[in-house]
Amino acid sequence: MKNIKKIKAKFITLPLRRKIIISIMLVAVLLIFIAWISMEFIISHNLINEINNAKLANAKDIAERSRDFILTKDAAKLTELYFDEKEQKEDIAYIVFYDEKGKIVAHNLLDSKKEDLHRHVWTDKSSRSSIISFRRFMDKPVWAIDIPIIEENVYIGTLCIGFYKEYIDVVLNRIRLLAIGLLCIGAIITFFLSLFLTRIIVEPIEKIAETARKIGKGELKIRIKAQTKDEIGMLAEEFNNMAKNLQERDRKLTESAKEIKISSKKLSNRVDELERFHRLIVGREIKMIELKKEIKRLKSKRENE
Amino acid sequence: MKSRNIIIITIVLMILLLLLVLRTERREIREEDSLRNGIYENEMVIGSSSALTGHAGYLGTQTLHGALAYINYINENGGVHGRNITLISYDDQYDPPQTVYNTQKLIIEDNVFLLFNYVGTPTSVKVIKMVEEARIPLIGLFTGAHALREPLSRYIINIRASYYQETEKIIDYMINELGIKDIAVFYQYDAYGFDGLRGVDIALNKYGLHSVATGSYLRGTLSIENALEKIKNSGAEAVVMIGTYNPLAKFVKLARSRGFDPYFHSVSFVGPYEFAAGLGNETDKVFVTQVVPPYIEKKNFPVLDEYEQLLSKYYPDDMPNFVSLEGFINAKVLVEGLRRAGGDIDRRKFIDALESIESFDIGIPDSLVTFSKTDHQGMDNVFITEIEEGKFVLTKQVK
Repeated sequence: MKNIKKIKAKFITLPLRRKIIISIMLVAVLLIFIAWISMEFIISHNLINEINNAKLANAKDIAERSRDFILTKDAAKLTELYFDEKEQKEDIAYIVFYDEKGKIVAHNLLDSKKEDLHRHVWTDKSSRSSIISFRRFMDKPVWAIDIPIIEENVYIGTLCIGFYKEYIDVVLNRIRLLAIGLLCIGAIITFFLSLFLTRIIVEPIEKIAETARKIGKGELKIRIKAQTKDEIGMLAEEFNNMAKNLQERDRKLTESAKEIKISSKKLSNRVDELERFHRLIVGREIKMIELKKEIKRLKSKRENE
Repeated sequence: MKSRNIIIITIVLMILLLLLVLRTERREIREEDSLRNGIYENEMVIGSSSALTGHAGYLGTQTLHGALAYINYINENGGVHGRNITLISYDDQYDPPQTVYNTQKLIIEDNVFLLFNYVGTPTSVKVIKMVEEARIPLIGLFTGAHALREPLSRYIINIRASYYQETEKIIDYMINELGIKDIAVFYQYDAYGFDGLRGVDIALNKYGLHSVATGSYLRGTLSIENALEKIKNSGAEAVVMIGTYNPLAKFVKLARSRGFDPYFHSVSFVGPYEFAAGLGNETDKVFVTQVVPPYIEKKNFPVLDEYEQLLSKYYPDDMPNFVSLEGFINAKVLVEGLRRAGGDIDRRKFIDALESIESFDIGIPDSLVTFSKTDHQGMDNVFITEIEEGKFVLTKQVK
């Protein structure tokens, strides 16, 4: 919880640009993860079942084509058929036909003696139904399919076919790699897209911020060119209006300041005049007082005389 | 800077993921496991699958006799580096599935060192993939099939000239010496026949020509009538034939009995003596291209003397013939390869030794055996022969 709060706090302090990129990438990663899980689910449940069925169908087809030669006990034709199958399908590990006594009649291998094949190929000799299992054949995992050959309710033998699992794994892994590749490409595209979108979103805001800074410094004539009609465009418009108003106010203030200056000057002149007048009056008053004093002195003198 | 780092890391991760392609390889037989199969202290075991019975039984039997005549001689004289050569031979009756079965048996049950003396195109072509998978040499095939030459296989070593070379030789002769341009093709409906047909097309194409008609028959049958009718109606002046002795002999005789008398030609695989025997009196205007010289020319070809002596020693009931001569020559080249590979032989060394053979004289002047890493056909000579008094002679104009 503490960590989450820390991360949240750190996130909040990040620049807007980085916030947006991180947000978009987080959503993209989440979607990729969900897509990956879904794909694995589809592969493991659906695709593998389909491959299972396809291999079984393949094996049954080989069994059907072998039937005539099995019934005529034509080991040479069976051997030829099985080698031809191996040539055409790279994922065939082995095809071995056992007769009803468990003896190998034909197979398509070139480095295994018949006694060795017994150990590796056919394990459940009692079964009379098709079996699909995984086992190891000469150190490699194989999809082993055993198909009993029944003719008119009589058991003739069992055809054992092994498909290398690695060929199927290769296909599955190629699908996975393709998916990973596509998801990675998607992630890269998302990343660049997020950079592009972030630029589109954040640049106008940054311009507004820059303009606000300049306005703050006193450049009131600056205007933002509103390139969008969204909220940011509206914000830019409002900023322009604000700048216009500020500019108007500034002009008025300047004019008022001028008038005040003029009035102030007038007042100052008036004050000077008043002062001069006052000084004049005071001067006159002083002279009057002095005159009065002189008159009184002269009167007094006269009286004394 | 930080954004750039993220981009670089993402791209590198992607590349690493893409490079993580899980490659699977089909389980391959490790060459080291089988290099010295069939090699023992005093013996080396080789294997053969050929037509010893059936409609092509003559071919397999005679090539085998010719080869064994020389091998027995070598064994009687100490073998090769002290080892006798034992040849295990199975009959495939010229049937490809049987060839596959026999080959598998030779490789994993009999553990042979190499495969030798296979007869026929559809049979030999069937085992190409097996030979390459098992990494076992296959040498001395009695067939001139193109598929056994191209693409080049390290493990397949041909000694004789190809059908393409045979058909080219006869087409050149027919057009330049006989002035014939209307040429039809009668062929066995299988890989062997298709190969010969293709060879004729290529040879005719050199002159801006095409075959005037083609007809075929199924392998193992004598159903040649439909093909004959078609070719007869084309008015062909010559018919190039790719098949075996019985159907081809029947074709020629039936054609003549119906008043259709062009020149006839067959490639070497026909089984010349059996073919000649089947023709009876109808041997005029019949050519057979050979990849070995006719026995009658033995004074000019020292190998024929050696061959005659050894054949009469080991197979006194056999008359000298082209087929067993070819088997004989195959064995000579085989032994030369074994000798050059040395006492500490393995399959790899054997093939390297064969590839080192240059201008090896087997007793056919102007036709020295040469191999290389890019050439796995030892000889290129083609002889045009015709039948005179029951014997094959070199055609006079090309002598």
